[in-house]
Amino acid sequence: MIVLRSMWRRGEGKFALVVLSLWLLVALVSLFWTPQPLLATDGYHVWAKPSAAHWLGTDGTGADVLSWLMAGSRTNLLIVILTVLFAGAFGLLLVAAMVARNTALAGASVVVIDALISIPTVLLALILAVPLGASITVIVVACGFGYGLNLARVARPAALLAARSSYVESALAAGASGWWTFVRHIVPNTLPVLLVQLSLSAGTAVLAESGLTYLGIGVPSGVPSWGHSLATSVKFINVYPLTVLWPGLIVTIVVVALNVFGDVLRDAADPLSNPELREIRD
Amino acid sequence: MPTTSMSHAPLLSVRNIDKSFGRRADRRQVLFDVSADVYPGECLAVIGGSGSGKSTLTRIMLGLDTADSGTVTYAGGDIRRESGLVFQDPFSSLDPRWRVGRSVAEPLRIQRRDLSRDEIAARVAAALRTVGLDPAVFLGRYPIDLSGGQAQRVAIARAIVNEPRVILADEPMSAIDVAARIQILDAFAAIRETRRETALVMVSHDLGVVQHIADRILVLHDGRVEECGPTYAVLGDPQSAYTRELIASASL
Repeated sequence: MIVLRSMWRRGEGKFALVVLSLWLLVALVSLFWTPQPLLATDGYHVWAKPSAAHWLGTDGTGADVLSWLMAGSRTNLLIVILTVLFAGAFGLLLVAAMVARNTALAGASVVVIDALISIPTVLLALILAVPLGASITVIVVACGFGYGLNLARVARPAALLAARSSYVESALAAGASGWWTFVRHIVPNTLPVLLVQLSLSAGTAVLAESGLTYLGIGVPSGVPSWGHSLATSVKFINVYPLTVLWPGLIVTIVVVALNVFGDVLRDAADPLSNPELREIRD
Repeated sequence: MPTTSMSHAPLLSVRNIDKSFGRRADRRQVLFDVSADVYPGECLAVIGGSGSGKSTLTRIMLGLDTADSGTVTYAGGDIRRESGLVFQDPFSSLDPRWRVGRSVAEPLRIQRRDLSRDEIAARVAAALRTVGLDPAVFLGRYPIDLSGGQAQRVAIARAIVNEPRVILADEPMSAIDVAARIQILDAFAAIRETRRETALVMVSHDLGVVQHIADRILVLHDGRVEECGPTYAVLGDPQSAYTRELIASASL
């Protein structure tokens, strides 16, 4: 509660919270209601301009753009949540290996991460798409893998600082396990970095969904997503710019909101930077 | 000068300790054939210049580091569970994102799974009171909102909360401003008053502090024991030239 209030107090925090809440709300609403049925096409009104019946116009099949974007928000939300969870879990596992007291494991993990980080996400997605075909799994695994490696690399200095600190040493001296100190000391003291990095990953996942879906290895055709809406209309950008504008605008705004969200959350959730969290409570 | 009931069997003794750091060309021996005893209830000060091996010796005593050769004998159970640590810099020895109460309770939460929440809270409050901090005021604070002296006393409270038989304090006052040092000294004095069997090993280069609190002094010089004896003897009638030098430079 205190965290949310502190976030709300900042202008960019308001922006991020409003955009992300709207996203969540639209995704929920689209489960039950969209202005037009997704599969309702109208051959007489393709590429229609915005009107009372089609607020954002129609696409090349005469389907309602707004309905598809609303339903797409659900797919994108799912992809972002899964990617962040995957990247977070994978990244933390790598961080744990890198700060391990077993120096051989720590040294080896740094080398392995440096090697793996050179694999481009797109290449990995292409390889995954061979057995899996175009699917959400391809996006989540390819992005989660790449972002997890990045996360580990970026979080390593902060995690090492905590791992070598006297408070961890004193816990270890008292008989704490390495796991105890990792969960209770090292992760919380790395959290500011993790939050920012994960929010960047979330934003990049939205972009990656568009890119991979455009390449035909992301969201399968027929499944609504922002990337799908972009991919089906981008060829006609010279003729019907509006249909490209809407999904592009949404992706841009959401990505900015996600990045800002991470920054603001880091400041609001860290007792070192938010004095309100340090107030004595019962 | 504190008095103590020194018994004859040492609580902790190290014999013929050798220790080197680094590899091959960088190899540097920091301890040469060092032997020392710590008795229950006493305060042993380990003094010497920078790089004399003071910290390394005490770390080996408590099993935080291993010696290359020599023996460490502890007349108790698991020394890690029966010792408390106080570091030089109180702010880096307390987790900046933990409240004071949680930090002080940590050794109990690690070692004493049998204690209830209330029992732990009671012991934490008692430990804070022993070092002169009011639990009502300090339990909920974060280290960032403490002064150096307060933070170091919190660290001391954490070191005593599990009622250790030996406390190792590595230069506990050198990062504290002079005005607050007396609070740290008072905290140690209070511990020695309330827990007469607890041994205190204090690494220091501040002879004023040592004179005030130590029963015995071990002087290390370049990794060798220069001399060891009761405080009054070592400071009043030093046998080695190096000790005389230390005392002379301290009284400048």
